Parts: sequence; C-alpha cells; structure tokens
Amino acid sequence: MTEAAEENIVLEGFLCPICKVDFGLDLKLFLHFQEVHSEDQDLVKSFKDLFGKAKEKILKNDIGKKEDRHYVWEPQEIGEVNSHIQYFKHCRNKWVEHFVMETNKTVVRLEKLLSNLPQDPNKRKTHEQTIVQWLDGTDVTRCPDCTKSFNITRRQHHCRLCGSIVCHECSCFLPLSKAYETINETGKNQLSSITQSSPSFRLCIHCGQVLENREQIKYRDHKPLMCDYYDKIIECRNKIENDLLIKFNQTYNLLKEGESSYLTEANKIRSDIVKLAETIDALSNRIMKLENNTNSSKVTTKNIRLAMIQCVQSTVLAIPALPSVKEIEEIAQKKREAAEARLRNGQDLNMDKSKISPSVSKRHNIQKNEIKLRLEDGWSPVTNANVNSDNPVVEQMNIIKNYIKQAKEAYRFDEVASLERNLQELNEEYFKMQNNSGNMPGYSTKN
Amino acid sequence: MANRAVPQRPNGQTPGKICQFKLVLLGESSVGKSSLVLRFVKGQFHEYQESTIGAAFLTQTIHLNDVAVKFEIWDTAGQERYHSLAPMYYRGAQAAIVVYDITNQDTFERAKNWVKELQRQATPGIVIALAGNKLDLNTMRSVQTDESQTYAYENGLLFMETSAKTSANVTEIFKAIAEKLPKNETTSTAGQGRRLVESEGANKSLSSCCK
Repeated sequence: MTEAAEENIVLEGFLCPICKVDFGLDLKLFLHFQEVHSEDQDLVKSFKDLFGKAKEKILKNDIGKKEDRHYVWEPQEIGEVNSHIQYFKHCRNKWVEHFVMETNKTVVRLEKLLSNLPQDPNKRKTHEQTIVQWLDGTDVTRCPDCTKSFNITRRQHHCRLCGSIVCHECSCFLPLSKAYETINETGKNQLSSITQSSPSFRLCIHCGQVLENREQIKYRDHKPLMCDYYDKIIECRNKIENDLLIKFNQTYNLLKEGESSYLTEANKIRSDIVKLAETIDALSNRIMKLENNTNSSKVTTKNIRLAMIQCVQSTVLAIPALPSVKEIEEIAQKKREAAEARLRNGQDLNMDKSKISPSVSKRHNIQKNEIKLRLEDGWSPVTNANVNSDNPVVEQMNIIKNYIKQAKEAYRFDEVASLERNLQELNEEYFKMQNNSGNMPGYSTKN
Repeated sequence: MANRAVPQRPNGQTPGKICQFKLVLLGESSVGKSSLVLRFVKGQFHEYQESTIGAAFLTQTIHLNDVAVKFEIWDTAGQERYHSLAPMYYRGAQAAIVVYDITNQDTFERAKNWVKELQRQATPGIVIALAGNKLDLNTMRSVQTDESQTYAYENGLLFMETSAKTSANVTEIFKAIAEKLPKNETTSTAGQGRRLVESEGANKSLSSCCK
C-alpha cells in the first residue's frame, strides 16, 4: 500500500533527477548536482544519447513508414464519372468562333484597305480612314495597352485595321508585301512598285497578333518539303527491304545451288537495289541541304542523313557479290557428282536393306523419326599409371580406389556408388582367387 | 533399381525419366575401344591413345526425347592379361559393345569370340552391339561390311561401322543401344531426387499464382 502510495505521489519542485530530493532553489539543485552527481554525469549523458538515438530511430521509422504507406496505396476504384467534354466544347467553340470572327473581320478590312490603295500618302490616309473609322484622340490621354500618358514624345497612333489609338511601343508594322501575301499570294507581284513607296501599315499589337496567328495556322497544316523527300525515301527503303532483298536472296541461293539461269535476274535485282539506294542517298542529301531555320530541324535533317547512310551501307554493301558463271558451273558439277554418288549409295543401301533383318531396318526408321538427341558432358576419372601389380585384380582395385576418390571430389555420388559396388566385387574376386588359386581358369593361365 | 517415371516438367526441357545402364566395351587390344568411348563421352580423339590398364570407367548421359539415358561405361583393356577382369564387367551389364578393327580380320574373329562369350555368360537379354571401328581407314579395309552385317543379323546384334577419329556413327551406335534398351526396368536414385525437387517447385508455382 505504502509503496503504491509513494509511487502515486507527484513530486514537484527543484528535484534532483537522481536522488529525487527537493532543493527548493535552482542554484542549490545545480550545486548539489555538481557535487554529488558529477560522476553520474556521464550516465546522464549516455541516457541522453540513448534517448536521442531512440528518438532519431523512431523519427526515421516514421519517415520510412510514411514512404511505405505511400507505396502500399492501392489504386483507387473509379467512382462516379462526369463528362465535361460537352461543356468544354461549348466554351471552346465560343472562343474559336470569336477568334475566327475577329480574324475574318480583320482580314476583310485589310482586303478593303489594300484594294484601290492610293500611292500618295495623304490620299492614302483618307482612304484608310474611309475604310476604318479612326478613333477620336482628343479624350484619349493614355495608351490603352501600356497606360502610359501621351505627350510630345509619346504620340498617338492609329491602328489601320481597328482604328484604335495606341502608342508607338504598343504598335507594330505590317509590310505591304506581307499584307498582300496575307490576303492573296498572287497579288504581291503586281503591286511590287507600291511596296517600295509605302512600306507598311501601322497596326496595334492585337490586330498584329491576329494576323500573325492566322499565318501560323496556315503553316501548321503545311508540310515542309523535307516530309515529301522523307516519304519518298521510306518508299524506296520498303521496296528494297520487303521486296527486292527477299527476291535477291532467293535467286542468290538458287545460284549457289548451281542454277546458272538465274544469273541475269539476280544481276537485275542487284542493280535495282543499288539504284534505289542511290536515290535514298541523294534524297537524304537533299534533305540535309534544305534551308533550316530552327535548331531542331537541323538536328532532324542530320539524323535522317546519318540513318540513311547507315541504311544504305547495311543493306547495299552487305549484298554478296554474285558468283561468276564459272563458279556456278563448278557448283553444278559438284552437285551432279554428289547426286550420282548418292544414287550409287542408294543402290548399295537397297542392297543392304535386303540383307538386314527387319528389326534393324525398323530401328533405322525410328532413328529417322527421332528429332531430339542431346549429349551431356560426360565424366571420366583419370587412370593413375602407378597402379602396376602382378595381379590384374589388385591393379584394378587400385584403379577403382583412385576413381572413387576422383568421383567424390567431383561430387558424382552415383558414380561413387557404382564404383564402390565394383570394388566390392573385386574384393570378393580377390578373396576367391586367394582361397582357390588355380581353380579359376583366367588366373591359372596367367600365373 | 526400380524404375520411376517422373512427371515431365511443363517446359519439357528436362527429361521426365532417367534410366541408368551399365555398358561394357569388349574387343581385341588397339581396335579403338577407348577412342570410341572417349569420343562419345568427351568428344575428343587422341591419335596416340595409351592402352588401357584394367578397366576404365566413364559416364555419359544421352537425352532421347524426354528420356535421359545414363550410361555407366566400363572400357575394358583389350590386352590378354586383363581378360580375367572382363566377366566382372559384363556380368550385370545391360549392354555391350564388341569392337573390332575393320582393317584387321583377326580382331573381327576375336570379336566373334567375345559375342559368343557374352551370349553364353552375360545377363540374358543383354543388348550387344558390334562396332567395326576405324572407318576412316576404309581404303585399308579387310573386313567387308556385308560379312559383318550378315554375322550381326544372324546373331541378333546391332551393327555399325564407326570411326572414333571422324566421329562417324559414334553417337549413333550409343543412341541405337539406348533405343533398344528397355526403359521401364532401371532408374537411378537421381530420378527420385529430381522428382522431389520438382514437386516442390510445382507447389511453389501453385502458391504464387493462385493468390
């Protein structure tokens, strides 16, 4: 009871952690600790270390557990699914329509501007203003884009396509040549004279962006020249690999069999392959020499060229040279001889067959049917030369003992068992021989 | 040596059955018994093969479809001095190859004697093969193929002309023996061991795929 009570008492105050005496003041406790427990300090320290380590470990474990949990997560089942595609399309279509309309309007205005465009700058200005109403600039004190106020140095400018007012920095120029290009590609040659006198239209950056986007979309569907060339290359390559090479190999094998009649055909296929390879080489070279603005296209063309060089080398240069007429004739001759020899052997075989028992010929048939036959690495011990004895049985016993040793070393326990069995037999034989030497015909003749 | 058919592995790679046979080589000295067996076991050929002392022991396993046939080969010395040892080796043997040299008629006569001895004293039902060795010296032949073939037929022997040097018919003759040997009488302890391992493997695969 008392012990339990003691344990339950909550001590408070400046307690020494070791002897649990209350010192009342912190200084007193400190001094007491210094005096009495200075040796125990190591102990305390070691405790601290222990706790520190434990803490570290627990924390680490926690981290580990968290990671584990992360890995353990199984893929969640898919719950309810709502498709927002329709909504997305709705929103997108709105924007697309908006942009398409904007673009179309801008282009229509540009078209109007360009039609019957006067060469005289003043007349041009009035012409521009009749097409697009210019915004009245009296109330506009700041550029609507950059919000900087207009003054003598930052003057108001009008966008020729929408009529809005912007500062110089927020505007761009559309060269006339490009403007014609945007509207009608053929028109640019007719009006090249105008181009020089009136270099460009001033546009706000928004209208500029609209036209720029339109140009980009135009080019998006436009295949670069490189693609055409590449398609042609692939066509050639497929023809070589899937058609000509196979044909060539077939005829080549026939030639190797001594069929000289295929020589012209093989030659033709060979030259076809070489021609196609040359085409591939030329096309890839042309791709390489195409004008490339971007770095990535430069890399691409270079890679195409390298790949094609490799392709040409691997396919064309690997084509074996055709055997000459003479060589083919030699092969044919050999074949003929071999066939004749086979014929002769066959006759022999027939003769033999008449003599061999039916069981033997049956075995031959089985042999022919057998497909799988595999040999393992065999094992044999080495015979020690120093086993000589007058008695061959003793000699053999020595040999077998040596064999057993070798078999054990090679972990061939099946062999060890067989050899030991034999040794046993030899032993018996030896004792028999000792007991009645002379009775055994084998030994009597030799001894 | 009771036979146990081991269930075949699903991949069919390892043989389902191991049969072990004792095979003995007999014949006059220097007809090429050791060369023949060395060619079969190690795939080697020594032009100057030393003459065998007593009886050499070699093993080789040959896989016929899914059956592994293990030959324990006793290559006896041909010298007359060791003749007394031969009965110990052909006793209990399931197969014997009697070798002669096709360039030497005497060795063929000696082979006939060996066959007679085997038929008289060896295990009944022993598979005897007659091998006319040194086929590479065909031009110096003195024993005609017809002659030995007829003899083999009359005595119910397997017959092949072999060459340890060119390895002609070497594997074939062992294969022919393996085919003729009954596969349901013998097996080695290794077969049982393998079966144990296999059943463990099967259990493992079961536990891993059904969970």
